[in-house]
Amino acid sequence: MLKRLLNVSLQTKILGLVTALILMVTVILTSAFTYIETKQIRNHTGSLALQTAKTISYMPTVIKGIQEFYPSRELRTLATQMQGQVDADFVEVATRDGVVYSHTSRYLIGNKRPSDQNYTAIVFGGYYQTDTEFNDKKALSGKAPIIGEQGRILGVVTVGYFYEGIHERISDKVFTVITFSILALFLGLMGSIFLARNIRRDTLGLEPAEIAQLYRERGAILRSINEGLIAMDKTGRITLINRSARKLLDIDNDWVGKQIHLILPHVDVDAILNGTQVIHNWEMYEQGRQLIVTCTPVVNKKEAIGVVATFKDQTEIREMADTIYEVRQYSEDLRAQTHEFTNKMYILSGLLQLEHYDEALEMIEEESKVLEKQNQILFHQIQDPKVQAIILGKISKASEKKIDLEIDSNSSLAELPEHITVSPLVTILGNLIDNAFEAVMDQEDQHVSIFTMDFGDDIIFEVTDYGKGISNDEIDKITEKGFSTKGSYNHGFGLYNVKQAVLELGGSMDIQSESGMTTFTVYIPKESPQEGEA
Amino acid sequence: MKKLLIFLSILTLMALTACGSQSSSGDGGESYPSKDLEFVAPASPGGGWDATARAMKKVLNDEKIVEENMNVVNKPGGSGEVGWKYLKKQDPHTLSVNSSLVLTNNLLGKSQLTYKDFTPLAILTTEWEAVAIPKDSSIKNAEALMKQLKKDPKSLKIAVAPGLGNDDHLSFVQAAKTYGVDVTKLDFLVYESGGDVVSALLGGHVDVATMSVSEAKQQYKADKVDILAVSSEERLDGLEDIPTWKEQGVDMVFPHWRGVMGPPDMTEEEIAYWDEKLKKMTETDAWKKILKNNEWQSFYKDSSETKKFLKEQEEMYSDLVKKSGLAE
Repeated sequence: MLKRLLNVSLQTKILGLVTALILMVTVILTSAFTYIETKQIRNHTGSLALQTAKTISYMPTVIKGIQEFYPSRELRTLATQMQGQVDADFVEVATRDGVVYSHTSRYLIGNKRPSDQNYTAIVFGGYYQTDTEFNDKKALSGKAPIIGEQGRILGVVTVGYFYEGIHERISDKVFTVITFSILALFLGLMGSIFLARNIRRDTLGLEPAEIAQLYRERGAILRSINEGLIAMDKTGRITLINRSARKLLDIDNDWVGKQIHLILPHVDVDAILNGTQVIHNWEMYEQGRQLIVTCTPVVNKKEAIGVVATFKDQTEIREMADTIYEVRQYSEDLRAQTHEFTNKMYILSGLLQLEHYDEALEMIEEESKVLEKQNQILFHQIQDPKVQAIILGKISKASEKKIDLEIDSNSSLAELPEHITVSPLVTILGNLIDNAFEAVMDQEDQHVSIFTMDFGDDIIFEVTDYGKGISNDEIDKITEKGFSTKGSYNHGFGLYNVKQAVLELGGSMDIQSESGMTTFTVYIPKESPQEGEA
Repeated sequence: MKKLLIFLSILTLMALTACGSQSSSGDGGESYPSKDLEFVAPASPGGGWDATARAMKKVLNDEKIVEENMNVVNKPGGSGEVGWKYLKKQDPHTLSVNSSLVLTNNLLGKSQLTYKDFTPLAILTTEWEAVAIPKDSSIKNAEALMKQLKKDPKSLKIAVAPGLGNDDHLSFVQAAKTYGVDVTKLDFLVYESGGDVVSALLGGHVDVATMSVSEAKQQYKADKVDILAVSSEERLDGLEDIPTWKEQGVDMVFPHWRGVMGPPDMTEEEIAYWDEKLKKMTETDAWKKILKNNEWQSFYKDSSETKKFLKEQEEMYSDLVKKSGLAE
C-alpha cells in the first residue's frame, strides 16, 4: 500500500508531501492560534466586564442613584452610556436586595431579581467574574459592589457579555486565520508545483527511477564499449574514465578530477567549447599509441557544459586494414600467377598441337632463362623472404598485365631486421609497385623497375615507372589522405598509407618525377625508431 | 546530522554544569543564610504584622538563634498586596509575615497572588475574634444577637475596620452564616481603624462591633464594652467569663493566624533551616512573653503542616466567600 503510494510521479510525490506538510503546519498553527485567541478573548472580555463594572460602581451618580427611592433616569442614562462605550451586551445596577435600578432591558427596572451570584459582592465587597444568565442566554459577567458611606454596600453593578457574542468574535478571528491559512496552503501548493516542475526540468522530464535506470545503463554501456571514453566538465576537469580508456592510456581512476591536458595535451577544452577546435577523427600520438580521437561538446540549453572525448587505438585499426589489404593482394597475386601460368600452358599446348616443337622448346627455354635471371636476382641478391614473396607476386601480376617488371641487377638485400614486419612492407612495396603498374598502363612501352639496397644504415627501395610523370603541384598533394590521380575508391589511401608506414618505421620517402619517368625512393633505417629513442 | 549531535552534546554539557553548580549551592545549604536577612511587614508600623516581624527579629537575635543581621522592612498597601508583590521578586534571604489575607485577597478579586505563589514556612501565632456591644445594649448574649439577626438581619448596625473581607468581618459573617442568618442583608459599617470602631460603638452609632480579642479586651477591661463571644476553641486566659461561640450554639472556631512565608522556589535545605530556627524561636521564653503581652496565642505549625493548613483554610474561605449558604 505504502509502496504503491510512493510509486507515483515525482510531481505527485512532491506535491503530496509538501501539501501534507503545509496542511499539517497550518492545522497545528490554526489550532494553536485559535486556542490562544479564544483564551485571550475570553480573558479580555472578562476583565473588561469587571473593569467596567468597577468603574460604574465608583461613579458618584451611581452611588447617589442607588440610594434613591425610585430608579432615576440619570442612573439609567449613565449605565446605557457606559454600556455603549464598552460594547457590553447588558449592564445591570441593582440594590443589595436585588431591586433593579437600571438595566439594558427597560421592563426589568423596578423588578426584584435576587441573584445568588451577587453574594460575594454584597457580603464581602468582592470584585469578580462570573457566569450569569439574561434572556436565557449565558453571559460572562463582571460584578462590582457599590460602596456607600461607611463602607456600606448598597448594591451591585453587573456588566455582561453574551457568550454568543464572544464566540462570534472568536469565530471571526478564526475565520480570518483560516483564510490566511488557505492562502498559505495555496501558495505552498503553487510553490510545490513550481518546485516539482523545476526539478523535472533539471532531470529532462525523467522520473528518479528512470534516472537511476539510465545511470545503471550508462555504467553498463561504458563498460561494454571498446572505445576509450573520457568525460570532462567545462574547466577540463576529468569526470569519468571508462575501462577501455584506462586500458588504452594505461591510467587508473585516480585521474578522475585531474585536468585533461595532463593526459591528452592536444585537447583544448576551451577551444572545443567555443567551437574553434573541432576534433573529429583526429589522429594523435599519445602515451606511445596512435589514437583516433573525437571530442564532442556536451550541450545543455545551447550552453556547452563539458566535453566527451572518445578514442580508438589506430594501431589496431591499421593492422586490421593492412591485414585485409595484404590478404587481398596475395589472393590477387596468386590469381594473376595462375592466370599467367594457364596462358603459357595454352601457348605451349597450342605450339605442341601444331607440332611447332622447336618454338615450344625455345619458349620453354626462354621462359626458364627469364625466370632464372629473375630468380637469380630475386633469390640470390634479395635474401629477405618477405620481400621475395612480395616481388614474386608482383612479377606474376606484371606478367599478366604484360608489363615489363625489371629487378635491377645491382639490387641486393640481406634479411631485414625483425622490426620491419610483413605488414608495412606489403603496404610500402605493394602500393608503390601497384601504383607504378597503373602509371604505365596506358604507355606503349610498359616498363617498371625495382631496385633495393641495404648498404649503410638505411634500407632503400626504389620503384621507377616510365609513365607520363607527375607534375610538381601534384607531388605535394600526392601523399595526402584521399588524394588520388586515379578514380577508384581504395587507391586514394595508397600513397598516404605508404607514407604513414614509412614514417612509422622512422624512414622517409622521396619522389622524383620528370616527363617519362617517376621514381619513388623509400629509406628505412635498420634500427627501429623505438630502440633508437630508447 | 553531525552538527546537531555536537549541538546536543554541548547542551547536555551545559545542563550538567548547571546541575553541578546548582547541587553545589545545595551542598552549601550549610552556608544559607549567606547575607543579611530581611523580614517584610506588609503594613505600616504598629499593626499586628509589624509587631510579629519585629518580635521575630528580636527573639531570633537576642537568643542567638540566627547570627546574621536582620532587618524589618515595612511595605504597606493593598491589604498586604504591596509587600507580597515585593517578596515574590526577592531571593530566599527575604521573608514576609502573612495572614489569611493572602487567601482572601485573591478570593475577593483584590489580588492575583495566592499562597501558591510563595513558599509557606510556618504559622506562628493566632489571635481570636470577638464580638463587642456597648455596655448598655439590650442584647445580653450571642445567641440573642443571632436570633435577632435571623429574624431581621437589617435591624442591627455592625462595625468593622478597616475593610470588608478581613478576618474581623469574615469571622462574624461565618458565625451568622453558621447560625442561619441571611448574611446578604447584614448591615456592616466600615471604619478606618479599630479606634474608630470603638468610638462608634461608644457613641451609639452602631449596635455591634467585630474586632480582635486584643482590641476588645482593652475596652472590656476599661469597662467600656461588653464582649458577647470569642471565636476560640476554649475560653481565653484573662477573659474567663466570656463564652465561646461554640458554647452558645454557633459551631465555629475562627483563628486569626499570622505566619511566615518566603519567595517562591525555596530549596528544601532553606525550608529545613527555617523549620529548625522558627521552632527553636517559638520555644523560647522571650517569644512566649511577647505572645502574652500581645494577647496572641502560639499556633506554631512547621512548613509542611502550614502547607496543609493553608490548603484547608483556602477551602474554608472559598466556601464562606462564594457560597451564600441560602440555597442549602
